[in-house]
Amino acid sequence: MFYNLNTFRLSTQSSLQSTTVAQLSRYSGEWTLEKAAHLLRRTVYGPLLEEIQAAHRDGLDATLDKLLAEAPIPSPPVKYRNDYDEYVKLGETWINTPYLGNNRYRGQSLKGWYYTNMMRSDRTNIQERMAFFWLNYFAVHGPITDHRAMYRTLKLYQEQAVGNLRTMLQKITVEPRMLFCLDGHTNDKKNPNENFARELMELYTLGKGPTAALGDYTTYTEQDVAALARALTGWRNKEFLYSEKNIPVESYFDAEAHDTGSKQLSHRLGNKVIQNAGSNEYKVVIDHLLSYKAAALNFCKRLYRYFVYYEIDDNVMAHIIHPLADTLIQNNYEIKPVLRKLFSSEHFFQETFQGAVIKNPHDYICSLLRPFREFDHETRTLNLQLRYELGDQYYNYCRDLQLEFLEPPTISGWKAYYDAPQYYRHWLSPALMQTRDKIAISFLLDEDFHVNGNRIDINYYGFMKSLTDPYNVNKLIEETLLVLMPRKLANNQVNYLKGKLLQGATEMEWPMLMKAYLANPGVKEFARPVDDRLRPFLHATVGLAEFQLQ
Amino acid sequence: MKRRNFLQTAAAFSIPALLPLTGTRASTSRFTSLINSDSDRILVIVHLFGGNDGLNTLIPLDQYQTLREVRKDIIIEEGKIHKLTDELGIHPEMKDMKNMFAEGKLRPIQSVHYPNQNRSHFRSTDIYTSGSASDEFLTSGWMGRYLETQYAGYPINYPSSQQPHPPAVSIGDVAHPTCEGTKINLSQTVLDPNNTRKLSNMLADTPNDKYGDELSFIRTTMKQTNDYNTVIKSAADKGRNAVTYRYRDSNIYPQNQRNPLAEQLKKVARMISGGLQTKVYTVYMNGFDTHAGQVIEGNEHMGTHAKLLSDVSRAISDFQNDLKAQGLEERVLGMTFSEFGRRIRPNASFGTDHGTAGPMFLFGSCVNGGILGDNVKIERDVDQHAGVPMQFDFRDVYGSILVDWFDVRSYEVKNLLHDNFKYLPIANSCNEDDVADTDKADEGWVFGDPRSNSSNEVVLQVTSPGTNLLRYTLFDGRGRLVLANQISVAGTADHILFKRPGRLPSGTYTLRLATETGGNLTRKVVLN
Repeated sequence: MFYNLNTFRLSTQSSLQSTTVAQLSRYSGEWTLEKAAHLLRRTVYGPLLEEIQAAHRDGLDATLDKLLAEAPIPSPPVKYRNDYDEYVKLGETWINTPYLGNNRYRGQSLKGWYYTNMMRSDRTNIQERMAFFWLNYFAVHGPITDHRAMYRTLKLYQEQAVGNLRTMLQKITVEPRMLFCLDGHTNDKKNPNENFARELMELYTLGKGPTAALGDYTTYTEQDVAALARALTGWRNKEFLYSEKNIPVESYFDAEAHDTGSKQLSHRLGNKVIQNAGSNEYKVVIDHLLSYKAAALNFCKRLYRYFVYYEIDDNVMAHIIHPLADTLIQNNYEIKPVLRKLFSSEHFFQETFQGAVIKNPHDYICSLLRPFREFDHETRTLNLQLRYELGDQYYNYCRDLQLEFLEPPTISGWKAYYDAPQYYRHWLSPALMQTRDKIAISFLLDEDFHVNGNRIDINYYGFMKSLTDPYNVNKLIEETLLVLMPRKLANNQVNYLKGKLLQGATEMEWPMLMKAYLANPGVKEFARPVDDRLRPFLHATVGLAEFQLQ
Repeated sequence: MKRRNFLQTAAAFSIPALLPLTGTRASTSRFTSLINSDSDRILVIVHLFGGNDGLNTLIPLDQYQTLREVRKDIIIEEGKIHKLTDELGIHPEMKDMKNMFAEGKLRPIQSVHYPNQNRSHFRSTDIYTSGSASDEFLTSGWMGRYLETQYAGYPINYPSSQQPHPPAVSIGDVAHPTCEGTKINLSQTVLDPNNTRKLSNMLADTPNDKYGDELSFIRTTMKQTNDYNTVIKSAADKGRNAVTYRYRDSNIYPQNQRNPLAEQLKKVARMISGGLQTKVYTVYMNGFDTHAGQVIEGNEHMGTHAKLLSDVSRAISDFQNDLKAQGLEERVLGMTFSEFGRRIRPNASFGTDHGTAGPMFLFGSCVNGGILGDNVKIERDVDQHAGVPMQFDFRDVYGSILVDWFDVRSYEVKNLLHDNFKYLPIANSCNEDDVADTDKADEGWVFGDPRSNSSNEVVLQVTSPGTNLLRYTLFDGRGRLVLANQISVAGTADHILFKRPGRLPSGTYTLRLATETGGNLTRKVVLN
């Protein structure tokens, strides 16, 4: 069959699409398995079949209750091998321990911990996905530093996953890593450093509007950058960096370094004068910035690009972003009501958006593994050390796919979420497509996948057992595709996958094979005929272009 | 040695190798043939990311005393610096590139930048890769825009039977922004050309919505990946490297470390050697953001910057030798760029902060020899924040590469880059002679005005000193070559050059004539 690639389009040219935007009004369509899966794919990493079924059964509201509930913070990373951190016991955390002795594996421990959180299948919650939203939002970067400081910031993102924007801005302003990253720690009354003040307005709150005159960006001006830099002077980090002494990873306010003069803002910011408020002055600054709707609009645009789609036209601006910003303001910058409104809207469930997001590397790896509960069943192999090393392995894959979570490329975060016109397409290139394919098929799904010399295999058995009717080939395929694909596939694709699954067997023979398979877990002679069919079926499935989308 | 552009013989009619024709020489001093799509010339772009310290790369020896005062902590001892000329030196680790300069294969261009500096890496990189002004935001890359004139409508219906190879190749994971087109990046990203991976070709109808937009983008990428990988792998398998690419210099690096830039250029050479018709390759090297520890105190010729430049110099020199050994030298031009130079005064950490202008290097056997531009003038009381002032707009360097290397006409360069384009002679030493002074035939030749007769034939009276070949080419109103041929002429006679082919509408055309002895001229002709 010949398919013409002339259909290649840029979204900005997709003029054929209707310009009407479904409103933020509550979704009134049928609550199907597909809609439930769409919601989960955008809010958790790689939903399991049972999560999709539960969401379908419980309905939209109960599912949102679960997704947006404040979840407990994962326990911190631990020492996972015995040849380092001699002052920490195996299995205990190092996050408060000074840099005594050999601390070589703290970085790996942090990475392993991060990906294990992401992959865990014992809860259905938005925490990890929102934590990454914040990570990209603030994009704290700069030389990889003290692991305790890095953990502290990651924990903040988890704590504030569905928290409050004002609280988050306050905390991040004096967060040790942020002070290092944007030079807050050297911001001094004698020599004010504008880095943080500038980004606070340009990226974290107001957003940069069109340039109205030299140094006037509509939402704020260069005068405001200089004034806020002075208002934010005085914050210092304790001398904790890689310290052997017991110095907590904290910042503090040095009144001597703080500019006590009054700071005159421009007409863009109401000609306000910020008076000296010492160690509370940064809160005055944040309150003032948040008093402008531009801040809420900018934040809601970022949420929208992250959760729904990259294109924000006048319609979306008027009918989606503005009402969301109003919701944020009305709720005193609590984020949960905004997310709830968005995720329960007609707009969010509009067909056109279903599958319109190119997966980032985290999405890609998790959507491949989490539906199978990853390698959880390999309990004999995956001891503490290998568990961490597996997480570290995921880190390497994601890094190869251009997402290194500890090192966002710039203070603007990853291009996928801000750089027009490509946006999400930045995640893909011919080389990256090949690397994705290789990681999925030649490593993670390969029967010879190893972590540090130990072979582990994905849990086909558990997955088959979780299906409603694995004895029926067509049902099996349908349910697997519901989990793995953003939309129903075309008949020719389903038939192609069916061929991969049956491998010459007939549909009639399938129930017999499956019966023996399910009745004899771990018995090779019954496992092989099915596993050897599931494998090519799964390879072919994740190799499809559609698997790149969610 | 002069070399003519190779022409594909598969053209609709045979175009003989043309003698110089200069008719439309715009602001440049040379003929632009307009047959660029058939050229087999290649540009290799070397991106040195981070902002290379130009003053520690090309060192103005005539300013050395002042430089020593303002760069006290980091300046290299004068005796260690290699001399390109009496006035200009090059970093001690760049001996290989110094030798290339001596052989006329290196063209340093001093103090290149853009007006109204922006010292952000990312904004500056955007400017350098898009070829925009500093207050202009372009989403396409300068090379992408040029390539789109050669691969019309890309990516739809590419690869095609006429253009089966990727327009550009970026070594690495990320398509270089230089090659970003208006729809999609025109470069194929290649990690290892010998080891490619086939992606699924299972297709289905694409829904006409936002999901369909993304799906169609992915399918296009997958299909092109497969199609282009076939030719890339076949070229890389067929191609070879004729020299050994050296490891990093073990005097300054640990033993047995591969030179990452050399590894990339090695792959490029293999693809070129194997016949890949890709026009542009990009390679990338990070690490030039030398805020601290750029040099070692007391041993200023050593340190981070020395290591970086050693890698650059060895890699480029090995690459050039590889091309030379395979007889490919005259097809390849190289260009280095970095998003900005660094400040004149160092900081307190034996490093330098983000500055302004810096040098670019062009390399290859077709570059014009010598140094372009004057040495940086150093003032004793130069401000701590001052960078090197700009001498050349980077877009003029790019544009001149398009003119010299890809035969793009000046007015097109203006569209692609900027209206104030000024041509710089940088890489035309392999182009046709510039001798003819336009519209002046050699001695003994006389040409009449061409005219169309009643049978729609174009007739030209020619007087030739003896029996000679006369070559002619016809261009339409948009400057496209539409017809070419040669005839034998002797004495004075009227010659019927051609009868207007049905495919050509009537109208005014430009006829260019070239004689075997180097004369040439242009005439307007109206085809009935």
